[in-house]
Amino acid sequence: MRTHPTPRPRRLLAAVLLAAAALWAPAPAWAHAQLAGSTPALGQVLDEPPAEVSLQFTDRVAAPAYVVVTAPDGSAATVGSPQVAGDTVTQALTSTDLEGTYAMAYRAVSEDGHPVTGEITFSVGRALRAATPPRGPATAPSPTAGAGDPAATEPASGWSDLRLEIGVAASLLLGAAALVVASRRVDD
Amino acid sequence: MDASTHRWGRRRLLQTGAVALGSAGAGWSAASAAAHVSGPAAAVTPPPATRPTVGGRTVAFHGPHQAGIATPAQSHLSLLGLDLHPRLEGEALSRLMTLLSDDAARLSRGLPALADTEPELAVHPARLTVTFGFGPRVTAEMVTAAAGRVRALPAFRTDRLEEGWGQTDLVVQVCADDPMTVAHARRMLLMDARAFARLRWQQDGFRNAVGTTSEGTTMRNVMGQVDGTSNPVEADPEFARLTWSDAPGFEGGTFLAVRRIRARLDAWDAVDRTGRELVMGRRLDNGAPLTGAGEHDVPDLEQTDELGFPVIDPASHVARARSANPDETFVRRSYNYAVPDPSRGSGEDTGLVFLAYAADLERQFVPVQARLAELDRLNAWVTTIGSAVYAVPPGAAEGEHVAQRMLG
Repeated sequence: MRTHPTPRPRRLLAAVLLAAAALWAPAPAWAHAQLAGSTPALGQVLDEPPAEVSLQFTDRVAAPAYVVVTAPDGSAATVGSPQVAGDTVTQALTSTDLEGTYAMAYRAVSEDGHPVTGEITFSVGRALRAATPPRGPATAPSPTAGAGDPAATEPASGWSDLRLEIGVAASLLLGAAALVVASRRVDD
Repeated sequence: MDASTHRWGRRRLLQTGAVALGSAGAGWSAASAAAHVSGPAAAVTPPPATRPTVGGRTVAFHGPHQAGIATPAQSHLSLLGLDLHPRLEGEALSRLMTLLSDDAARLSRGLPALADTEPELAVHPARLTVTFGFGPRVTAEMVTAAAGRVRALPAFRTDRLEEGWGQTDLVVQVCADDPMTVAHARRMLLMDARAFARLRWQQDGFRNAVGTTSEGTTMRNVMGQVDGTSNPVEADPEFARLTWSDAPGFEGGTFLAVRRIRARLDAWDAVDRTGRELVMGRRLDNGAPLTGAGEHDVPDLEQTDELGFPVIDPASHVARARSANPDETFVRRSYNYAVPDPSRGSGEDTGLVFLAYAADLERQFVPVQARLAELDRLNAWVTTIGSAVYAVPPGAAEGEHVAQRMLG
């Protein structure tokens, strides 16, 4: 009967589990920031115009950021410069009571230099009233050829894709480890 | 060992050695005697083969301006920062400048220096230029012309200055297209300076070798960027006004800012191509502004994209460096550096020896540097670790030494 200080199959399993855990480790400090959400949210209908708008990103962004909010009559609705705090960009709006569709265009720059840009529309009042269309070819985001990230107006799906991939990889590894462990037991 | 294989007995060995040493000694004496007696022209003749074009090119040392400023940048740099020995008098500085000017004048002609210990190393001038500058302490205490005085740069928020790369009394800029030429010139200059000054730092740098790119191609830095677009050249009508001082007693002189800028390449690794171009405001492939097609297209800071944002980020390097004020321009004559550094993951410390020449640093250079220190996306990846300023005297006429009129 063979004796080991720690049974070899268990050590192998431990190593595989550690490796799987490493895959779940936080991403490197800098990564392409993507839009995680906004206030108001895409397509949201508000009773009154907000005093400010804010954009939340998946990672910290490097100041300065740029926000342009266009009121339903085509006028600029922003006052002052955007404030950058970590992963959030906030922009104050002029006091206005205009009802209709507002367009919030943004450009932020990740800490790794990569731009994230797009446009979000929201409305004030009971329904979308087609007054003067907001600036830009469309209110829906469209990827610009050759540019950085395409406009993202939903919580970044890329992040959940990554977690899915990690989960699959980890499962495969654990499965393989289990098979190895099993095969060793057969040998013993 | 038997006698037949043991052909070189000890005695024979010693005898042969004696003969070799003796003839070498005789030859050495003859050669050095010839050098001292008949002057440098007779000491060394170039090899009989055709003189190579690159090695044979020369840049005149004498003239209204010092060489190495308007001169198209050579491939290699050795920048020497020297401190005068304490209690050195002004008269000694004149003697030092006489010696160094003489070395520079000879070597840049492809002639050995006086008492050149390796005269064969002087035969390929390779566009050698040697340029001298004085720091604030020297110009305050030893220079007669007030116009030649230079003041230290203000402190900038982003600076992380190390005293080891700081202000010195003298600077000597040695440039040539051949590294052997630079090394030999440096050795001769330091040898002659030893009695007067101590070497505090040496900043060596490089660009492409001659012939790698076509003449006039803007260099690239270690971050891969085209570096030095929109740089005044001698043919520009504004060049003289921007570069040469016309102040009384200092006509033809200029001022030099030396900034040692470390590139944080480990962090730059994480920046993708789009990010790199956004940070600079220029394309990587050809250095064109993001609003243009060619390197020398003027950046259009007003151009906007379909969402209404400026195509060139207002915080990008090119947007922050440019100015509506045409005075805020200066000659950039920078070189890349790379030195070993075991404390870094890469094992290397690499960046730019940034050299800026201007007729008035405070009006031309300081506003630009202040703007960049205040905001420049590139700051996340570069750190200024050394800084020094110098008054660069006018050129010397034949028979004169550099700064002869200034030192009185």
